Amino acid sequence: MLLPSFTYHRPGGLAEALAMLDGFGGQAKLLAGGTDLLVNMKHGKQAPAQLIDLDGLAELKASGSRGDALELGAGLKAAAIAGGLGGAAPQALAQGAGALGSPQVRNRASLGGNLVTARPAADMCVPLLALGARVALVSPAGERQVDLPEFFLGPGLTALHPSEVLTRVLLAKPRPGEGSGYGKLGLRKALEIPLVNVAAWLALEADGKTIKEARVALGAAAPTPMLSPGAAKALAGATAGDDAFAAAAFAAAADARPIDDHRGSAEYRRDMVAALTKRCLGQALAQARGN
Amino acid sequence: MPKIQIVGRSYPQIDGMEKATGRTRFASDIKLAGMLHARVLRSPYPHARILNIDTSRAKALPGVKAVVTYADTPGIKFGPRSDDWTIFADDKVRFCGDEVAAVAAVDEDTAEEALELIRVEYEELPFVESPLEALKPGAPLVHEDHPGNVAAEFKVEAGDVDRALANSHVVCEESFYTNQTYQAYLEPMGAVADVDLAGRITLYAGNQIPSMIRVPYAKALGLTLDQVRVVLPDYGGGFGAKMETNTHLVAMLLAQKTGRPVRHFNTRHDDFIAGNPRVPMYIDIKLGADKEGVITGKEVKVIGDAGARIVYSQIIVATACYRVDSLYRFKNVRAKGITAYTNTVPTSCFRGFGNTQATFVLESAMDILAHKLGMDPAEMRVKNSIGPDSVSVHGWKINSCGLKECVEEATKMSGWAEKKAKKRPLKGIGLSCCNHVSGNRAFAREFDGGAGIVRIGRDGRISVYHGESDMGQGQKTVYAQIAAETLGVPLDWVSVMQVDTDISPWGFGSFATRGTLMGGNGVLAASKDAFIKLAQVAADMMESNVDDVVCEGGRFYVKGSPDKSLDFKEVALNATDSNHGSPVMGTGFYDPPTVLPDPKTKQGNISPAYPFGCQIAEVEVDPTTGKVTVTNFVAAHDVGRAINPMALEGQIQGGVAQGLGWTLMENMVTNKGKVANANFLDYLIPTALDMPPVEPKLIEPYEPNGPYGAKGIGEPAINPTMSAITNAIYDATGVRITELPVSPEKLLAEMEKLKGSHEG
Ligand SMILES: Cc1cc2nc3c(=O)[nH]c(=O)nc-3n(C[C@H](O)[C@H](O)[C@H](O)COP(=O)(O)OP(=O)(O)OC[C@H]3O[C@@H](n4cnc5c(N)ncnc54)[C@H](O)[C@@H]3O)c2cc1C
Repeated sequence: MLLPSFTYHRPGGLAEALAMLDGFGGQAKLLAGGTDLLVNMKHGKQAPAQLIDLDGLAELKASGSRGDALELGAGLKAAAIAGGLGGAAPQALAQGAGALGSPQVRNRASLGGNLVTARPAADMCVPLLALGARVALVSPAGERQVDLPEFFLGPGLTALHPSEVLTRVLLAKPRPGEGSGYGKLGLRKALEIPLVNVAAWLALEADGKTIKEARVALGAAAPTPMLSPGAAKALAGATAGDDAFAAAAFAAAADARPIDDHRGSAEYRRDMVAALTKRCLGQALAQARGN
Repeated sequence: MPKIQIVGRSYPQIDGMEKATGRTRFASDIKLAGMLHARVLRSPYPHARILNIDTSRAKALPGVKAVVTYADTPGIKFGPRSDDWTIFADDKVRFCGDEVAAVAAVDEDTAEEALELIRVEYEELPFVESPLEALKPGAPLVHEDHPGNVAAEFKVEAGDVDRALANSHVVCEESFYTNQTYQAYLEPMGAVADVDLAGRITLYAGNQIPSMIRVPYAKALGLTLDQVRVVLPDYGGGFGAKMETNTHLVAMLLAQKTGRPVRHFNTRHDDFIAGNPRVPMYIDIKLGADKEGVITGKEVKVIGDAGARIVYSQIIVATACYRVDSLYRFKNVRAKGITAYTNTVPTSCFRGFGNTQATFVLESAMDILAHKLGMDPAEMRVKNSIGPDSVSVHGWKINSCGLKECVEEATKMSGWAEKKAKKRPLKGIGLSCCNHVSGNRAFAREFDGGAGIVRIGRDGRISVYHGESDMGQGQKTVYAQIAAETLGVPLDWVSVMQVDTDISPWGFGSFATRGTLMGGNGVLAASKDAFIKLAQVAADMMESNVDDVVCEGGRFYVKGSPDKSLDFKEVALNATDSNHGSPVMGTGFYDPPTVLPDPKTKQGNISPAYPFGCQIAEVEVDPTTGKVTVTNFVAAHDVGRAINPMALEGQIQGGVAQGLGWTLMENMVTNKGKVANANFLDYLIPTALDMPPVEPKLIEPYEPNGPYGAKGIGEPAINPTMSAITNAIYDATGVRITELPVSPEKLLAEMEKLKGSHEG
């Protein structure tokens, strides 16, 4: 229950962090806000001998757009993202970041930490999946980019190599005619690991009615945050509205593979996936229509 | 007499600023020179035989000063109200979390490391998790000397229940379950123990019963009472849990073994799995009423879960059997309570002490009857309300009683009548009443009451000594107000001293909503005594008669001539000087007009005063998720005369928050004998965002037995909250909640069933 001992390192830049990580050869862990890592260490689930603190690295805190892409630094705090990043953050992501923990936790929790911890219902992972995000992974050998569905491998398990740092999250810049929404179901209004959470994104055709493309992401519905292929299929080409959303909700519930535990039965979770899917699609549509 | 100036006014707690600015040294901040740190090895199994314990490797770890097991204890069986405790498990462990061994080391890291080096061989035994299972023939025995796992039985009967129920116009017959919850105080349980060369132990422990706790502790360690001194630091809450615990005894035993001060605090995890959580209860009720809604009779059967040993569970079950019978004008009541051992964490006091469980059940049943009769539930409460100056079915003497006024005010404030008349889909309003005690003679057996010492120094500073326990509820402020009022000085001239059993009066402590009435009366008596002594000196100085001397705002004067006055401090200086240094000492006590209930009939007045209340909740239910949101809350409480209205309002709001948490989310889940959610990420308590506005209202009838007319508030503040919310859920959905907590999933399923039955 006490924090095990470790050596703390504070690199001056990303290059130095990468060199340290390489040098310690698997003995080290990257530390961002510490809201997952330090908790795990206290519970004896992890005991790295070396901690490399990324929190001071300006390179990881930038956000901006490059062409059609929006790039978010992995070091950005949930609090900043919840604040909307000056209007740049897609709605579902800002909502997700705002639903994470409490003000104190949001001031420490980073985007990169949330993705690398890869909890099945993580509040930023689920929206980013719906938004079609990729992550940039940098090692001394260079950079590679991985789509989120390939990045999440299991609870706490990702495609990140021990020598890599997640530097940025890349997604398409929100355009008119697109919208997204996020919903989380728990017993209380803050500091809550959701029973289920859902994010939805959709793009309308120029007619403002037909759905060009849509994605629905589900949390706590499988060992990793997951996309619902059924929902995407039900929505593509359909007329946006209650019928299509009900079909998508039905498909999402069918795709979900939730567990039974003392917090809720699999059956209830599945029903709630459907309920939240409808709500999130409603939010996404409202945004896509500009209201 | 000067008019009352300090009692009845709102004051922030006198130690509030110190706490808010982080200056208060809480129990866990105490550091003594040479202090060691302890950690306990707890059983990983709900039930297992201990075959062997090997501590040799732990003892060899550098920095470890002592490792102890049962073999290092005097082996005396003890307990607050039973003899089923040992400091460490002897031949077998009886719950996950049972104490097996402990280590004292130079720091916590070393102590924790040493725990991992202790090897225990266990032989797992079949275990029993639920009291219903435990009472079945052939269930594994938790204590071999308690056949059938029956820890205690309680029976009470008055009137002719069978006839009353048979002649009723309507009868409600329903089974309820109230679950296990955790007190979730800010500071886990713990203590620092220090031992002197004569073997006398000083225990610095945040606990609610600093005097009483010494009795079982002395017994457990084979000491005499005078060898255990308790000092009460400020501490972070209790809500009933902070009474006897092996956590303290571990520190004491290790201090004896090492000759050094030892600090032992539970980790939060340990506090969850081996604290003193609420007694889960299965309660069956039959409640009858006549055509007019007058209650005819009540029968209840209670099965309570003691866990693996008795802390106070059997008295809590007894309380659930009959305390609520003094809320209404009952004539025919019968109750039977069984307290059963299980292989789970021992359970104990939690704000409400069994009356919370019983109030949830009775007030749900009252709602059911009101609906059966087509009667306004508020009207039905008023109709049956016990009145002032009455005697209840168990011989309890009710002096002041503002129950009717509480219902009237709460219904007015909440717009009850309009909201009941205009039904809105999925929105509901619910009402519940409650009663309680201000002290419980059945609990404090040898005598009950309160005592105080008031010392006035040469500098005029006033020190108040008492034997109760302020865990943040505002007791110190109330005592300071009583002393300042009685002496006629400004509030900030008074210090309320830390309880130290070498100095303070013997007090029974803080439970049973008794602090203000019992301790307050003790402080009042001592203040009066001190006043007379000082007033005599003032009278001599003013060449007047002591009976004519008053003090106001720190100045003595003779009645009728306030312009010729003497400074209180000057009088105090004079008093001490003429007594060659001896301060003015006032002592006094309060002897409440209570009796031990007759062991057979349970007749007898157990408390000098009885508080009442009425709470009304409004809820909204989400039809797709089943989630309940409490949107508004009013709470009218008969507190007698308020001494500190601000503190009372805080207590009421806190009680409602705790009750709301219990109703909607709080639940200790035991799975395969282990607490499955022993942390604050999985055990949910409400956050500020989950709270609706809570509007308190104080109803203030003068209580002749109370200090300045006051009664208590601590427990009544939570008693009616659960049923106010679940009655509102019924109003919103038609679903009758019979089990706490209300999970959205369960509620949704019940709503679907109702829909199905209406459609089908
Ligand atoms: C009280 C509390 C409440 C919480 N509530 C929520 C909640 O509601 N929703 C939710 O989703 N989460 C919640 N969390 C979990 C946690 O806050 C989030 O997952 C957070 O985003 C983690 O970020 P961090 O910066 O603190 O990560 P850290 O703990 O610093 O790191 C987490 C992991 O990510 C790795 N890592 C961090 N940054 C990088 C990087 N740039 N490149 C590679 N690896 C990296 C670390 O090595 C570590 O393995 C809660 C935690 C606490 C303590």
